[in-house]
Amino acid sequence: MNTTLNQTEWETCWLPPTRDRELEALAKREYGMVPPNLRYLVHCPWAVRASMLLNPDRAVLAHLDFGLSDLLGLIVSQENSCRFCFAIANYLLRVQGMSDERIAELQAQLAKGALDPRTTAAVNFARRMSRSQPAAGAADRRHLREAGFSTEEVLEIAFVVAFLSFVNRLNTIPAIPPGELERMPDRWFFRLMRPLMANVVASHRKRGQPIAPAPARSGPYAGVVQAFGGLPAGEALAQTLDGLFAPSALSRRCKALLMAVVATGLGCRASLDESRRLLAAEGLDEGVAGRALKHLHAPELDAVENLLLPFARDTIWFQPSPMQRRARELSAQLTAAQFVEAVGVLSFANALCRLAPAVMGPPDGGIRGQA
Amino acid sequence: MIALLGAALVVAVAVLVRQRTQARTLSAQLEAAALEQQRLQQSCARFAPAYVIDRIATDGIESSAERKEITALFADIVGYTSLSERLDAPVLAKLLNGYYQRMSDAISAHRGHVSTFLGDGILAYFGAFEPNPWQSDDALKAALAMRRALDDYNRELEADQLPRLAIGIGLHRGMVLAGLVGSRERTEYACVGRTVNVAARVQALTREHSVDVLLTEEVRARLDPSFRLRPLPATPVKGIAEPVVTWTVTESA
Repeated sequence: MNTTLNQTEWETCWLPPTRDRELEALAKREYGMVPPNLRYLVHCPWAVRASMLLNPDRAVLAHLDFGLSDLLGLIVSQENSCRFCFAIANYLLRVQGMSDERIAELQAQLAKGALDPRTTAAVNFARRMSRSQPAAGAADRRHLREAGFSTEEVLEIAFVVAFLSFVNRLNTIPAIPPGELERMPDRWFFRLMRPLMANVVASHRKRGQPIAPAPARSGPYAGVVQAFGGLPAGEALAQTLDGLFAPSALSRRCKALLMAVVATGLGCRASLDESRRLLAAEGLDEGVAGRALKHLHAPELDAVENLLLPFARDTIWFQPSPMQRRARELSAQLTAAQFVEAVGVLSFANALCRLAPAVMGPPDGGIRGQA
Repeated sequence: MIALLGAALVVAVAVLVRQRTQARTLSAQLEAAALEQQRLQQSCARFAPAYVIDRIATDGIESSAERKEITALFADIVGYTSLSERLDAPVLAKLLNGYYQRMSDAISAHRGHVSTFLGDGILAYFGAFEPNPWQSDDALKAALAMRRALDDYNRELEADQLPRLAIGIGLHRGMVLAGLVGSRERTEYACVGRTVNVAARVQALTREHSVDVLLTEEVRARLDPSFRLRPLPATPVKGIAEPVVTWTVTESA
């Protein structure tokens, strides 16, 4: 595979693969196959479901074309140094008939900035949003609109980048092995079976349809969901948030704390306010919450929370290998369910904190307010 | 006539094939160069923030400059001059390299970036590459990790019958101008301004107060209260109008 990413240092995954018939059956219905990462993540069912529910191929894009969404998959995975997701993006392009040379050419065009202005604008937006240094906001949305994207397309671009920020971390933090996927396109049987695989991929790729705007949502992060009113992506986000905050291995308070740490690190005001409201609703004293976010621990928190808070910040900007080593040390002190769920929450928190400023808020009053 | 046309056709086809081959070769070279540039950009991300590298690639070096709040850590070996006079050059180099490596590891483990080695000194930044709201805690944890790493290193040096090392570390937090600075021949990503100078001056005060770590009020104000600090008398410092109040740390958080 012609890529700079397969030279990226990547630890050996320490999670034992585990079978879950229900999730595997769901994956077969959705993709026609069981994705190779699923068995490492089954301890957190909502995260596995979210990775399918939010997938741009699964009827969540009503306006953006799949070609651009695939390209963003390549860019953002490269940006986040996710070897697993990059290998998937590469694999899907190869399945669809793109040659290794054409993919290399695409990468070269990306590096040279030799793409057409519309694609370049989308690529720049994706890079800026995934780096979040500073966060993508109104000016970036304006550039996309000026490049010819509709308001709905801009929202869907932001959604795709957020989805990738989620799955990149979901696969990078526990070092899901990318090796087989990286080698697959060069195997003889892949070449032989490619047309059949292309059929399977194409038959499971579904375009979404605009939906009637849902009644105003009152749950966590309602503002972000509301920004997608009338788009299937909003419904997928709402279902994912419901799954995330449902009772599971980690307490609701712990999840809100993790989201607050990521929001603090990224300076995402909207997410920080939201998670502090959640913490207050969970009965955590405001002073304790403030201290915990300021110093990443507090004597009033429980042992799991105090273990997870310092790690939460490691998921914001990272080099895969050092972050994976820290994750392995952390997982030795938690149950598999707690660890994998923490990976899910932190991955989604990173996605939300990048998505919120990109689709909401000042100075233009939110993307739907744009001309 | 037919033979002539045939010959012309063969020549035309040959020229076309040759041009196509050349175009392909050029395109491959261009792609290779672009990929190389990408690899280079990834490597450069170790020395400066990725977004700065991007900005430089499109807008030039001056575009990299920005004001930001960082915590500077300055460390220096106590009595280095006499040490350097006593030891043979290869022994001194080995001793210094071991010291640099251990100190750099301690700094990196707490999200700091070593900017430069100045003789026996080390200058590191916290919050320069990525926004870091926890930079004061990180910098002090790094200083404490350096203290522990030096203890371990001293045991190794003693075993090799080499002199023990002692260090002074100064920490200060404030605004700096961050960006690529230097001459045409040599440029580096650096933080420039009073914050860095104060960290160096505070480091020098460690001798006066006979402690190994000193931090300023600007760092203390944002520190985890579970660090146990001891205030030291305000001391005049060159280049700063008011005497500087510093704190030393007696125990980690």
